[in-house]
Amino acid sequence: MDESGSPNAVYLPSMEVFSYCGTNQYTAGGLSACGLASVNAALLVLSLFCSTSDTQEALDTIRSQDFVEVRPRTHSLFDRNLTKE
Amino acid sequence: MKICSLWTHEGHFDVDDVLALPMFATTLGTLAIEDNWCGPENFRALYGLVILYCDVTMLKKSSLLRDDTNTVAIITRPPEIVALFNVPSGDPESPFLPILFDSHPRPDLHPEGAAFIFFADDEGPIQYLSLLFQTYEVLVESKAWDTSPLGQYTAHVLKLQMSTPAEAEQAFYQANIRILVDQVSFRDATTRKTPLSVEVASLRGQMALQQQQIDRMAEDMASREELILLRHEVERLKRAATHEQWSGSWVEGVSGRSGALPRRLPMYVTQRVFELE
Repeated sequence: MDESGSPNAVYLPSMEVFSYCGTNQYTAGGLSACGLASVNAALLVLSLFCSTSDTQEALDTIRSQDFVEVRPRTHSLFDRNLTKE
Repeated sequence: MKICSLWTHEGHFDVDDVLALPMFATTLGTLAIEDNWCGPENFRALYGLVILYCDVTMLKKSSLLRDDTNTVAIITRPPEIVALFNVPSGDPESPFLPILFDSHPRPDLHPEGAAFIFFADDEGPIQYLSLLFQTYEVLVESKAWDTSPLGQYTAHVLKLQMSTPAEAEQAFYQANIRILVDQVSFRDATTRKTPLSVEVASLRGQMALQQQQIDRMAEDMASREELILLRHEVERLKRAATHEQWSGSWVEGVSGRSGALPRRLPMYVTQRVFELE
């Protein structure tokens, strides 16, 4: 896979795309880091929904540039609200 | 995406390798791993599986996993990996929302960055994945072993794992200890390498010496053979000289008696006389 990505990705009327410049895996530094990025995204998104009861707020957070770029500080791995007491 | 900047290596790794890292091993649990051919039917079945695992009653079978309704499928279609989520939508009429995360830039859709793609219905991600991981029918039908990775996908269906602060702390310590273990292993390997290099150098020196000895022996052998040949030649010459002396005295005796060569000498005597002249 080269850095331009697959040309097969097409826009469908039933979808909304949230993307920000300079946030792809190549510009972020990792040439073959899609596995790392995907599993990390899985942890962040699932943790986000566990940390709040406000679904709309969680969805807005995922849409934001901060969420795509870096890990939001409010959802640290060691936050007590993500873990079983 | 910040995690990608920490990984500068070019080597590819599997989802299993990532999930084995302490930070993920203690937070994410694997519900199912599915290998299948790319195509709308199989992607539909996969998304059905993701929704199925959102069922709370299903999760009660496993006390380790959280009983919330969020599930993700990490889909690997070599060399690409994307994540397909099923999360609450907040809409009672359609309670679940499919979201796809893709860290690769896509020229026609998100050319500059990673993307979260929100789909309005369940068919959206199926259609999208079928187009993204498009494979030729011929390839799928042939099911040849050497081309199969191009037409197949592997999906890891994951959910958050319950962990206590103590477990999170334990993972932190494990990660650090693993670095220490790797450092020690590396040092051991380096130390083992040095004596081996010395031994290799010494063996090479011994080999060179032995080669020199072999060359010398070969020279000696050649000299000996030459010497034997020379000795044989000397012996032959000596024999020839003795024979010649004997023949000469015999001829002299005969001619001295009569004053002239006899009319009919034996053939070998005549020959020898002519040679002497």
